[in-house]
Amino acid sequence: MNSIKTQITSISTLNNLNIIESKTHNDTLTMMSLDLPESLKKDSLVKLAIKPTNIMLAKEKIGAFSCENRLEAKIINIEKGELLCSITVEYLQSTLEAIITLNAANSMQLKVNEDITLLIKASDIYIKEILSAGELL
Amino acid sequence: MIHLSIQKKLQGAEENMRLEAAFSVKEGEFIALRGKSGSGKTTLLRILAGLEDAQGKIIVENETWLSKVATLPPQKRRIGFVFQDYALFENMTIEQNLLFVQKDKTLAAHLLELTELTALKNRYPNALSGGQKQRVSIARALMKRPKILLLDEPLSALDPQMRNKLQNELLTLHKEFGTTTIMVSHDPSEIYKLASRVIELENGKIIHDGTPKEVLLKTQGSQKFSFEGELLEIKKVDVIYVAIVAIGQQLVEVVISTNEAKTLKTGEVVRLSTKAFSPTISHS
Repeated sequence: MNSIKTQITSISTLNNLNIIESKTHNDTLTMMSLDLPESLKKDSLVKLAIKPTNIMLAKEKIGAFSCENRLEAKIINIEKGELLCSITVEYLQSTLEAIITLNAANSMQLKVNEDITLLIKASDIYIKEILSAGELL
Repeated sequence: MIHLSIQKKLQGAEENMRLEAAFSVKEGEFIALRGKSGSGKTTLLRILAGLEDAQGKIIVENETWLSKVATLPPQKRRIGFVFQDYALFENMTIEQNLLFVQKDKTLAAHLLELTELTALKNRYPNALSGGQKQRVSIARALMKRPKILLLDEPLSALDPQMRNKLQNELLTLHKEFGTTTIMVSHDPSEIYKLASRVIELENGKIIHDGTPKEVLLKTQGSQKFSFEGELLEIKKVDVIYVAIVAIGQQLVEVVISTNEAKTLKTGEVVRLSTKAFSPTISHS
């Protein structure tokens, strides 16, 4: 499963709905969630996870777009199946996998070592594990 | 091949109903029989075993067990029957329970070994656990080398661990003895593991007959991950709504839109579905 270690920078809450921002190096990731575990606070270290089928790939810079998370990564492996294609990328210190259709991979002419943008919706990210507690609010 | 086509009037839970079932079974098949209580499952097994009368026909490998003109008595049908409540002879040892059916010491020793009962063969049933008793009952049912093994919810009184172990043993025995097995079961995981075919009865009629996946996989359109539950509450949060649904022994939350929320009423039975691509799976 794809995971990225991040540190929580802010939690905006309305009833049991939350928008959580967290940082890894200089990138900020945004996710939506219903009720959060009580131990989750600002500065908590967490492991975020994304299903491989929920990652979109883009080659050129795109303009206004409702997808909150755009991560710059590098392709390190391409495995083509008969219908689908598994693309493994290196993002900072994480290795992530994206599963897209073979048609999409072919039409984008993806190559190993190429730079690529990962697009992930805030509703498709979840917290897999809280690695350490943050400050008490 | 087993060809069965039977009819019988039954006293149903609410009103009198008619059991009307017709199907053929290939030799060596493992069939799960499911349906609500009172749907006719046990009666069907008892008719096959000759313990109950019915109209119609039963032909097993060209031998007529039931027809208009003749009924083969139960002891002449090569059938093994396992009940939920074990039905062992309490005044006989484990080994004697087996030998009572057929005086074949070699087969008894083999079955006791397969079911890990060799060390207990001189004990009496009341000294055994539920799982061990059911093993004796299964081993005993195989002493006649039956053509058909009938199991009426054999594992439903056992704890999950013992169930799992006995499911594997049942499968081993089914293969080794080459019996045709018909088992009443309600447990989807048990049916999926053991059976190659599922027949579902409702009010005495067959309503489904197919592979476990065809009969048991609940789908909603193309969505493969689907559960039925009771809608307990719908709460508005910001511009979205959160629906709280009880499924089995737990509660789940689902985010829905305003338009979806408008069509739903608390208390109603709803189906939650998502694509097979969406759920994640992890160690529990």
